[in-house]
Amino acid sequence: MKHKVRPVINPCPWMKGLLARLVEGTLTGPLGWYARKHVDRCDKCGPAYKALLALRTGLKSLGQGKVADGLLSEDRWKAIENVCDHV
Amino acid sequence: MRLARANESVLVRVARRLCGHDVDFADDCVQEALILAYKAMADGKFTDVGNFRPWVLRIMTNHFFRESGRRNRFTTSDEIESIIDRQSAWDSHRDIASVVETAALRDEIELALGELSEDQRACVVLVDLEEMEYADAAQVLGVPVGTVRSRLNRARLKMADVITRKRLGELI
Ligand SMILES: [Zn+2]
Repeated sequence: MKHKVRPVINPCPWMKGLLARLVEGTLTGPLGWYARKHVDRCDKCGPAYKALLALRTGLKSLGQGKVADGLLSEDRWKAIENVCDHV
Repeated sequence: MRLARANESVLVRVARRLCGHDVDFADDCVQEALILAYKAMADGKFTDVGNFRPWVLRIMTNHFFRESGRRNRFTTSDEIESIIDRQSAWDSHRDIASVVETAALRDEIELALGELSEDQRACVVLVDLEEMEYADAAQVLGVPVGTVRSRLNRARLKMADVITRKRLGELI
């Protein structure tokens, strides 16, 4: 059985959705104001917000880098074409 | 085959990210998806060429879910067939977080991706890395937009936790 580790990044439960929108930049108005105030004062949500922002930056960089780019081998294309020729 | 070749790189990229370092498994998923797609088009089951990409991505991701052994949603070839048939497109931590640098993060993100469930990883790959809209990712995965959003929220928190924990471990 997998040992359950207590998360280090553990925002207040009601803030999870708001944090996601705050990090995406889509939380505005009174809710946005409330969320930013809370993040500034909360020992759980503050670190979570900063870590999520850093993660977002890293994900963007990784996505733009397209490091996992690649193509199928010619052998695989031959296999695909062989099957398709017989359809 | 022109459509297949035109979508090769996005299929391979998404598959390899879903499969981690198992390149053979990833390429198997792509190969199988392209064959299934070609057969469906030859049978006249799919004609909406403009929606080929989300459709073939959906076939590929479902093949991945089925073959990865989790069998959490799609368990039979018939269900993949049914997708084809439907054609419906388809603290102290404060300091740590502040010293995080993008370059180092990239390796850590790759590590954290491996800690996610297949469902969560698929959402991160499609939305955060491929920059798909929530609605498009929902179409590919065959789940409601709200499900994509909640899986993504959980996935990002888990990734942030894995990365912060690793950094704490390095600093202690
Ligand atoms: Zn809080």
